[in-house]
Amino acid sequence: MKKSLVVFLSLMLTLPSVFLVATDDMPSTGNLPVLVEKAPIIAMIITNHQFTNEAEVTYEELQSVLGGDNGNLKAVTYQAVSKDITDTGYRLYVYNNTSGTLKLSVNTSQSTPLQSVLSGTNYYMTLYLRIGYLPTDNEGNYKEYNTTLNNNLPYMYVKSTTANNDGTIKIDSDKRKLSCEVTSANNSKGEVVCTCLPIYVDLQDATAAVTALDYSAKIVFDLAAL
Amino acid sequence: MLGKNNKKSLALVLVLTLSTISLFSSIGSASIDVETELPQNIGLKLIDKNDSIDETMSVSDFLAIDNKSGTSQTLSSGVVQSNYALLLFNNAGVDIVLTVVFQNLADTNASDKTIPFSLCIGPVSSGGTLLENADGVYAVSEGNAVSFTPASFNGITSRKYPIYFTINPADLLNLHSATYTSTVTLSVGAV
Repeated sequence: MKKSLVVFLSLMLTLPSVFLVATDDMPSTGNLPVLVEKAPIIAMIITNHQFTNEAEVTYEELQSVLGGDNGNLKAVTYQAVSKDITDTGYRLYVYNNTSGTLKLSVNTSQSTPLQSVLSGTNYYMTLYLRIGYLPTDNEGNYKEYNTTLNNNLPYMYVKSTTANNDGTIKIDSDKRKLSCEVTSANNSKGEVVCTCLPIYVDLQDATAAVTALDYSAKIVFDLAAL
Repeated sequence: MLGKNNKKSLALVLVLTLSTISLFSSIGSASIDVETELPQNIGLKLIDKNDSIDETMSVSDFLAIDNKSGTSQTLSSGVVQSNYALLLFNNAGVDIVLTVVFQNLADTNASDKTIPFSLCIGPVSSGGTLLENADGVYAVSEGNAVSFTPASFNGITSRKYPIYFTINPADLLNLHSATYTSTVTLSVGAV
């Protein structure tokens, strides 16, 4: 009787041990999802800074001009102009890493015409401003936007001769395109780069101008998401 | 005589039968104290980076720890320590191997917009790589599996490793605004 008891107990001790290992649920794999949120950035600057490649200015390069300020800057400059269409050397750069479209426009309520004041009298000169790459002929002369150019590049233009009663810029109704759409631009690597809009100026016909005076104008641009 | 002999035999059989029933009953109650065998196991869990561990924990201790596997981690540029750490368990007395695989962070809406990044499990250098001769693994988001064999678990059952992610700040410039995601998959097995 004792011998039978020992044999049977031994079997029972072995079996549960095997049973435990076979059914244990040890986690041997794990996963860690990771993510990066890239915030939308919209920036605009007017500058005559000469970038290596003005058509592919990156946000990092733009920041070097912005001085670390992501806000908009106003360009203050004196620019000699003529009756010929002149490339001012200034560029309006728009950075937009959103998938949306922006609207660039002239803020007419804050812009003023090219004017001078002498003894309480305002004198005006005609200002014709073009923003965005102008087409050229075979000899490199600038041509009007409406002559060619259908390359989907953004552009605007505005012609002003005098001021409204409140002093704001008065715009020739036939010579204006006060807004354009700007989407994000990409370089060959697929990176987002700035959209570059050159600024051209010509005086065309100076009306009742006193040429010995210094004239100045203020053109304010707005940039907003559509 | 026959009648007497038959009665004696019958009485003996009855005694044997009763004894067998008694034995079986006592064996059944003796088999309860069996769960003292130590199972040999290896495993991993993701835990909070600040959680302390007992390096000699038992299997039941390990199984009781909350596993953060599948919990999302937000990254930023430069070398960033993860909110989570890797806990390896090994009481099997054998060498184990950890395998890591992940791919570039990718824009959830545009698969061709990606951000490369690297992963360091273990002590990290200022550049985001594993410190020289340290116990751990360094991998970049090429999509290929990278494996390493942790230091032996002599006298311990558990070891905790910090996790670091590194994104080159330049790789975050000039990107479309979007959410870029990836998943790091870890698996452990015996060598």
